Amino acid sequence: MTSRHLLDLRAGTPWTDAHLAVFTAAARGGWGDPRHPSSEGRRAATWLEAAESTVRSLSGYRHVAFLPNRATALAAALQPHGDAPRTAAATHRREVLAQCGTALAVDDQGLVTWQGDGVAVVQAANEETGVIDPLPERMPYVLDASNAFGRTEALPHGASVIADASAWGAPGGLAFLLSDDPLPPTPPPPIALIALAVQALTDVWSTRGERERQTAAAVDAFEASVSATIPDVQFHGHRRIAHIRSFSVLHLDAETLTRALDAAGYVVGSGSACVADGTPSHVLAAMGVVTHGNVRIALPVSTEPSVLDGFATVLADTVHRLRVEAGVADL
Amino acid sequence: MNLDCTGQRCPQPVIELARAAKTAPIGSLIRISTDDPAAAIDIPAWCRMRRHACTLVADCAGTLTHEVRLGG
Repeated sequence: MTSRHLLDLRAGTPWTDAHLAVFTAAARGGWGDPRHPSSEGRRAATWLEAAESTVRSLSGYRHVAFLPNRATALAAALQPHGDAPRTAAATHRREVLAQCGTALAVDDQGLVTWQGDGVAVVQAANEETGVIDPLPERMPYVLDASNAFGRTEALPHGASVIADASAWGAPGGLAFLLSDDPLPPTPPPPIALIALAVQALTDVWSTRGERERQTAAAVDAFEASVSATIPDVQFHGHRRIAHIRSFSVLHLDAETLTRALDAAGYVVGSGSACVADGTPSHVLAAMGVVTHGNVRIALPVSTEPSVLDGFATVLADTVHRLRVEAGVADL
Repeated sequence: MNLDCTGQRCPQPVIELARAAKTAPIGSLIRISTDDPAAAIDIPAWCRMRRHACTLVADCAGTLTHEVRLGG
């Protein structure tokens, strides 16, 4: 089998030996219900308090809640805003748009212009393109940093923040809600998952800025190489987080392209209709950019950015071969 | 020139348009009909990249007709 290069963290996160060791220790020590007034419950509560303390100290926020997913974290973050109308960019995730009354149009770079009253749900980084929403000037907001927290030093402090453990290399299934205001008590997910996510966050926290700069340089070099060697490729969005990049390869269908890349050892995502559920990505549609032949990378923390050098070469060879096979090389 | 691309899925309608545009002279008009949801986005997006003028002239029961005036 060819060596595998994981370029899309949404494919999942492999469990390392270190992950398993932390998970096992926390599962053995903290299996009790931390709300139960027994020795077992208190032991679990001790694990939970240690995790909360670590996240508070790393993030600088006074309160943290652990929740099973981003949707529940968003619902909890919006709760203090009551019945205020909720607004998000049309490029936000569908589950977020389902909780918002207004989806605002974006320009061809994916940038939203905030308007209206109520509360904004701001993307610290769009899930497909990495595009960073500007902060609203005249609206309170909740910051959905589920694709950014742990990956950048450039997050504003001052609003409720949603984080997702899969972004920084922990297995998914856990979201954080951070705030300076007290948070309502919530039944915590399994403590072993929390301990693992907090350890993984601790592992990357102090080096996140350096990683971000290395990743930005590698992704920029990749884009320059692709633009120079492959005709008719459109990259989507300028102002974005370092590790996420989306581009469309004209005249190829994404399913054929992503399968060929997978066979060559490169795991990527796509927002094209033929790979998704038959409808094109609502993100690319909102930006009005080409949706076919789409490739998305969202580099996991564990992937060395230099892997993109080899990927650029394989991509160029693959695209050329597939375009010749499809009879579209001269269009 | 008329292109009937109804029934075709992404990216075939864009490929057919690109093939037609390759041989037609600058300034010519291509009418293309599609019923694929991706084509509704991709045909105007492709035209912007290639600097062709694109206008949606009909939307009938999910079948869209775009008129593309080929630019230089």
